[in-house]
Amino acid sequence: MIPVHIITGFLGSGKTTLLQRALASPAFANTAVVINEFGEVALDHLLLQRVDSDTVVLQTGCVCCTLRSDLGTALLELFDKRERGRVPAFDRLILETTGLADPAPILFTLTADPVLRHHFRLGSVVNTVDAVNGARHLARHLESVKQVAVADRMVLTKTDLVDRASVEALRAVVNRYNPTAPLFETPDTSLALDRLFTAETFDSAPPGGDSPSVRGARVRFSGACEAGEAVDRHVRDITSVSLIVDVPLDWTAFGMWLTMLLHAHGDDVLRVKGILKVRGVQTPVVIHGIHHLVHPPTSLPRWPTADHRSRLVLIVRSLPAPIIERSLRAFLRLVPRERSVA
Amino acid sequence: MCALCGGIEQARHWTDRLEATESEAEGPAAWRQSRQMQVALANRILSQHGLEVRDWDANAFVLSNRTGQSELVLRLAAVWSIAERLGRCRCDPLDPVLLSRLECEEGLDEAAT
Repeated sequence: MIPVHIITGFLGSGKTTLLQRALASPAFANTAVVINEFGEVALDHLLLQRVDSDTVVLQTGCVCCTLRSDLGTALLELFDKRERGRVPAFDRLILETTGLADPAPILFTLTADPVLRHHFRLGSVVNTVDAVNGARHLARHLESVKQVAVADRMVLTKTDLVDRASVEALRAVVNRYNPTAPLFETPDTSLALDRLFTAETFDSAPPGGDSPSVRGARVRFSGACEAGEAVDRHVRDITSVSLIVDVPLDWTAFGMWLTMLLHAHGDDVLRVKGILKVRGVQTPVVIHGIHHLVHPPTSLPRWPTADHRSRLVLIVRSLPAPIIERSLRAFLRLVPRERSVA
Repeated sequence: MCALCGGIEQARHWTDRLEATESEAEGPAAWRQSRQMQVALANRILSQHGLEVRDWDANAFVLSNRTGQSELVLRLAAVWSIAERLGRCRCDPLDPVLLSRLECEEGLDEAAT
């Protein structure tokens, strides 16, 4: 399975620079690139220094729901060329989206297409946030918030162009929308690219820091953008909700709850991400979801920290955090603890 | 498709029993056991709307309303939209009425919360 890493980020946030840097690294020699362009003329690929037969440029505009087939076709054609030996046998693919792209449909394409999902798997979603304009974008553009919300890794770019206080303020804003994704900064010559583009996308840092010991589910954090800008109403209502459950989850009850939640409110659930202690399962189970789609859960070989409690983060729009917590707790209580089968 | 019963084999869904689950039951027995639990839980949630879910040969679900209208549902995740149609109701886990009912039901495990 070939990992597909996705670079998202608002217009001018440094996606191409990051991609160039990755391609310049010997460790990324076997990397194919798909560039999605917005507008009639694809410009970004001209900026890339190494555009060759491994590179596909989608010129049909922003990757959105109506254009998923374009992306799917491009990926399959690239895979076909690889199999026929017409391009080198790349072992990694990086997709650079347009600055206005909602990344969710791209992820849908990878996981929902019956052919693609047998050849490609989702790698990490890396989001670039411009330290100069990022706070403004996050306050005004829902697309920018969505890009932050779905990210597994975030890179704050152009941090040398603003003072440290501004960087820290932006870090705080970004962290509120996505408390689980590690933040990196550029320019930083020591930036470890392999930590950005990795298949392991659940990190160890528990969201929200310490809180009183809880039993069952508990809201750990809920916050909205306070970037000091006039905040767009579509952005203002987006919050991050972190839940911790310190008893093993019943998988059936959890699945019942999450499918029902996504059925009723999937449009307003930008992201679900969790590392779960499931009853009857020894290893931690990682789950990712975007809107209505949940990726097949995966297991980690071991817990990343000594904290073995289930942690679930939801980035939601206009959904009350206390009710989400109450709902999860009620569903988990439907199954007695002593039930032996998950 | 199964040559004997005509059932269509479904690809795994993320809500299905995790393969790494350890239990006394194994193989098909464990699968059926987890399906029974899915059905039981779904019925506890949907009963207030006069709906009933039944397992269909461990391969699909049958959802019925009080007038006898029934529909085959392949995935647990698809139950909710069909339930809304058959039950003329809204399936929302954040619905305060549903939550109050679930919280008051007997048999809940207080120690788990």
